[in-house]
Amino acid sequence: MRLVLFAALAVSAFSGAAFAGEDDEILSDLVVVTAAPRPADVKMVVQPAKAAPAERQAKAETPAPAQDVQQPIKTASK
Amino acid sequence: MFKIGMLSAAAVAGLVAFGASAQESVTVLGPSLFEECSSAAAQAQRTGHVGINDLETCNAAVGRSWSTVGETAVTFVNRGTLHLVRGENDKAVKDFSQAIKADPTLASAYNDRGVALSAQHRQAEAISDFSQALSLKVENADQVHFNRAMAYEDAGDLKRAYLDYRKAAELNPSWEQPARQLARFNVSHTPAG
Repeated sequence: MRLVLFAALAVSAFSGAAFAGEDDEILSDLVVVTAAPRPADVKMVVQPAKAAPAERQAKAETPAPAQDVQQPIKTASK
Repeated sequence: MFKIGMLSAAAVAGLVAFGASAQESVTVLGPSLFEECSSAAAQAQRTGHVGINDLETCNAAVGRSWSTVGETAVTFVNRGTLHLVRGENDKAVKDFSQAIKADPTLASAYNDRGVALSAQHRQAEAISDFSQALSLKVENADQVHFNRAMAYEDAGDLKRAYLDYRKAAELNPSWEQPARQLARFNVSHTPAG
């Protein structure tokens, strides 16, 4: 009975560790983090969006041709 | 006389051909307003300077009532970028929010709104936007991790900042900035066992 309980606890602990996020594991592993002040000239990166060229856009908006719908094969009833 | 007949026949043939092709497709000469706005935003991002007519171009592009959802979203992102470069963070946030409203899957809109929010010292909202951009499989994930690292750092969460700088360095080893930021950190680990 004790053996079964122990096995169940071990399985539960193992699956818990498996489901924990990788970041959480690393976070708990890090003990002390200090950082020197960030230089003022370090800037975040803005990402302008690319406009699709007009021709490509028009093509993308063209509806796709209708797919051939396969009709069920009629079988002659005897 | 024969020559004139030949010429007119050729002209008629040309007109017929032109008419047929005109019905089939519309050829756009030169870049569209959307593309011009996009180029202006890209240049502003590179140089940190907004040209005299750039905002007008993007305003005109936003005003196109017949534009598609995709064009609208992209144009709001690009006008927002111009506002951001000019330091007009309120206007930038509004434009990026409009872009997200038009296309909630446009990852760059979340990244850029995160940048604008961070400039307004709204780090928690910025971090949320960067995380959303990453969940949408953004094209340059290294840049978004870098941005989120800065937001975490400004929010005082140095551990998560460190992890994001590290992720940015891992995704783009040739980019010097993440490695430079990592060098500022002093990290200890729990002893094994």
